[in-house]
Amino acid sequence: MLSIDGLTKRYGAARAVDGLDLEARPGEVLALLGPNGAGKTTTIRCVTGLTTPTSGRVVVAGHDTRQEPLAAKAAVGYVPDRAWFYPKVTALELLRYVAGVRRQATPAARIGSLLARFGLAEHGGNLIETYSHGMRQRLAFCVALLGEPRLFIADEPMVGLDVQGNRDVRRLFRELADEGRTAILTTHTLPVAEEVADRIAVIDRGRLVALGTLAELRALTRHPANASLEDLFLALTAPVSTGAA
Amino acid sequence: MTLAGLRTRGALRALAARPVWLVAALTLLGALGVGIFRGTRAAVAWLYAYPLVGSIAPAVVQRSLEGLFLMLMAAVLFSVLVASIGTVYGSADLEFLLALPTSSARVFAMKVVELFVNTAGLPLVLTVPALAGVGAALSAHPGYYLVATVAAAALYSLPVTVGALLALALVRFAPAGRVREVATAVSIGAAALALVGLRALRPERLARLDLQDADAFESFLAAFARLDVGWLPPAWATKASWAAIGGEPSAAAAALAGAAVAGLLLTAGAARLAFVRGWVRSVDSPPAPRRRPARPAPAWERALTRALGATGAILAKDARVFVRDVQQWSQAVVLLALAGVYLLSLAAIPVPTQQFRDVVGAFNIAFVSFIVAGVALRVAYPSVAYEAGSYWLVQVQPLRATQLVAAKFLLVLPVMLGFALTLGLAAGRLLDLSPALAFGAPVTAALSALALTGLAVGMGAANPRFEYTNANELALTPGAMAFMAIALAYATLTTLLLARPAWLAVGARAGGYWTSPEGLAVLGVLGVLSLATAALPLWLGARQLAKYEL
Repeated sequence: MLSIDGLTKRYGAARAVDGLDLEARPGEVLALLGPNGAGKTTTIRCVTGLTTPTSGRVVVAGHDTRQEPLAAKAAVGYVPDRAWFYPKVTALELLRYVAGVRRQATPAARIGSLLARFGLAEHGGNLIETYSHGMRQRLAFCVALLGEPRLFIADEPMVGLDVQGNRDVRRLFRELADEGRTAILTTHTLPVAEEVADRIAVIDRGRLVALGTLAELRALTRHPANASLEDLFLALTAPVSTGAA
Repeated sequence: MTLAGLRTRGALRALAARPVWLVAALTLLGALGVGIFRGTRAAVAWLYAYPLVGSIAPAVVQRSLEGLFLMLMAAVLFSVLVASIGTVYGSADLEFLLALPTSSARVFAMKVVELFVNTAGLPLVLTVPALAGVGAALSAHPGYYLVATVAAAALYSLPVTVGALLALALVRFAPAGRVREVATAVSIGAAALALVGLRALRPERLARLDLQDADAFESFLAAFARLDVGWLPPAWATKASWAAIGGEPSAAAAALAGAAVAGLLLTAGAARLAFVRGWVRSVDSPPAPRRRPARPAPAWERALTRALGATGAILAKDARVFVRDVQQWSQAVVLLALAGVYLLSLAAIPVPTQQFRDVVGAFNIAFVSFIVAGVALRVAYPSVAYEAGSYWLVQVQPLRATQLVAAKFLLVLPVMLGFALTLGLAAGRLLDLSPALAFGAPVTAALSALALTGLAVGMGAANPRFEYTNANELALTPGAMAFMAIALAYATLTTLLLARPAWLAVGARAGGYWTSPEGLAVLGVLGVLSLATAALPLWLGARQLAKYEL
């Protein structure tokens, strides 16, 4: 579903992503973890079309993001960490706008069910400027799911969500995977990744340092079977000792 | 680092981020400045050398300076009324700034300085070369250049003070929950009223020019030289500058400086009382919204999406935002006021003969292009930037940049066409122009609207600025300045193209001109020039926008 080969993104002299190889399969939830500045968000931005790779190749649902950007984007649903929407339109109008842009013929039923699912049905006719941060975040999920994406990507999706919203989103990832879609999330809330992810990719300094199931990561880092993801993460991303000291 | 230093550094970095556009804009602005300087110097020198009016030349130059100051001060007042609420209360950085452990008075002072730069900056930049031209022609004392510049700055600070005080009062007393919307609407209404009110004074009554009189020019200048607006601040600025030419101090300079300082003190005092309380009111939540039932898409939205696909969907969204966002629809109110004032002015011009009517009609053709350029800067140029923080949503959709740019163009074009055609057609009616000009005026107006809307939207797309503290900043970006320079070049070219048919019409020799080979050729060149001016920037703008990374 998603294939990333040798992805590099440079900003001037700095390499945000440095020769990253990664693959995400249909029907799996992949958690993308890493310390601040590791390159997670830049990787996601390359996949969603928010930025262009310096080199390397990104293929979404069989479409190269450089050669067939529109087909690749049509297969992706994206939830940013802080979703900003036009304040002077209603949620309903926003969703109709996105459906129109995506050329969805009869979106009304889909819009209705998404608003209901994310607890926004009663607020769908109100301007987005009246929404709380959590409501906007839930609306971002509606927008991302409207096109029934084959690849669903969420960048820090739990930020701003209340307890119920948090649980709903965790369930959503599982459901999407069960429907045969691919779901990718980045998060610093490691228990969430531990709970929902089939596989975990750890990125550090723009490079992939580990990829596998929790059990595989434990084996890789030689940790016992009861070691938490936090222990594994810290082991995988520990600063490299120079041996000088 | 101080707040002002932080803001200045941010502004400079924003300018330096697009060095090519910055250099182009500065070059064009520099060329304009040199043109104003040389033109003023030559005009003043010519006036002093003109044998019959040499004796009243100083008075004529002083009245001209007063006229320039008055006109630009009125322009600053108008801009301030439009921009004050957005700058003083609507800036995105206020939440951050007011949370800092710094005095709110400093934050307010910084916003007033921003208001000055945004509204009076360009008029001041255009005034300085004119003042320098006067100084050079009259071999002024070196101190003149400093005194005249400071006098102009002090003069333009007065309407900025008025705007800041109005913003403080409006936000303090507008109904809670909708403070910014109501205050902005009232402020825009005041600006429109100020425009119409100035026009209602009918300044043309002060000096009527009788073209049938052989000594008309001298009579006109003599009448002009006798005009006295000594009680108005523009006259103080003129007197201060004039005295400085000879290196003498003047009471007018002290009066102007006193008025500027008093205005600042008054504003500071009022800010101490009202700024923070007003800010708190302005960020109050609007009344709890009624829960509205979900309704199906209206027929017009479905029709647009069906007919134009993704472009139609963007158009429908933008049309909604336009009528709901006070910052956007208020521009339409301003347009109406401008159109009204322009037409009132045309109606008031004394037009004794067909020949004179056609002279005014020929000037009208040139003026309309320049006015349309100014309107496009405010209405069309920011249309892509209005996506603001939501641009990420556009970028992740299966959408071409050309579709977005086309939607912006299609939204603004009818507004601009309506505006320009009203001016072109009404001018023909009001002036009872001869057929050649009555046809040429609306055609040129429509083509100007097409060309300048395309140019503005395209250049706005090529220089997207989605992060701004308030929308008024957008008209002062390097891209906007470059747009104005190219738009003025287009307006000049169309004026030159139409010079011959206008000349023929004035001489009553233009019968059947537009069906003659020459007339058709002029129309063809005008059409191609306008289409190219619209299409090329739109295409280039879409290409640049496609490469843009948030």
